[in-house]
Amino acid sequence: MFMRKYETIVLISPDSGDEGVQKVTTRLREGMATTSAKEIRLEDWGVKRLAYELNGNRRSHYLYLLYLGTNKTVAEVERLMKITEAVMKYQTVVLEDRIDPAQFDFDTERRNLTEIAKRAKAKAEARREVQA
Amino acid sequence: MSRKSNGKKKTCPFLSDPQLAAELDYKNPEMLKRYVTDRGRIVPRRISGVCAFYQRKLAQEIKRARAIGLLPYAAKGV
Repeated sequence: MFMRKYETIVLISPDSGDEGVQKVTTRLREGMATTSAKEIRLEDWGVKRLAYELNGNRRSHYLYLLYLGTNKTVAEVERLMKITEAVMKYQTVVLEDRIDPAQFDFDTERRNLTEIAKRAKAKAEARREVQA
Repeated sequence: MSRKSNGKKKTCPFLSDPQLAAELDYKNPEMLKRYVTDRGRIVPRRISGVCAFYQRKLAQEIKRARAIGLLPYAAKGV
C-alpha cells in the first residue's frame, strides 16, 4: 500500500508547560497508531517567539512531526489536536505522494533534522552547560 | 525613451542559485524575510526580480509560514 509523507506542526500554549507538551506528544502518537501510520521523527523546537499574538500569547511551544500516513491519519491527528486544550494551532503539509513504506529509508530521514530543530538543540545544550 | 532606470536586466535569484532554491521552505523564516517588506507584505516580482515560477512557490511558503506564526501577516494601514 502506498502512503504519503506528511508533516504536522503543532503550536502549544506556553502556559501548559511540559505537561501540555507531553499530552500532545501522546495524542500525536495515538493518532498515528490507530491509523497504522509510520513515524519518521518528532522534533521539539522549544518555545519560540510568535510573529503575532495568538490567544493572548506572544510565544508558543512548537512540535514538529514527520510521518508516513494516509488521509485517515491526517483526519485523526487533526481531530485529536482540535480536542486537546493546550493546542493553539496546527498545520499539516503533504510533502510526497505514492511512497512505498517497505522501500522507504527511515534511518537517513530520522537523522536529517530541520535547521530550526538543530538550533533549538544547540540552545538547550548551551543552557544545560550554564546550569552545570 | 525607456522608463527603466538602467538597461540592466534583473535575473531571478532562485534560478541563478540552486542552493537558495533548496532553502525555499516555510520552516526557514529568516530566508523568507528577504522577500517580505517591513510591513509584512510580499515583495512584488517587479521589485525583487524573482521569476514567475519561484514567485508562486515563494508566495505559498510565505503564507504557510504566516499560518503558524513564523512570519507576520501584513500590518493594517497604508
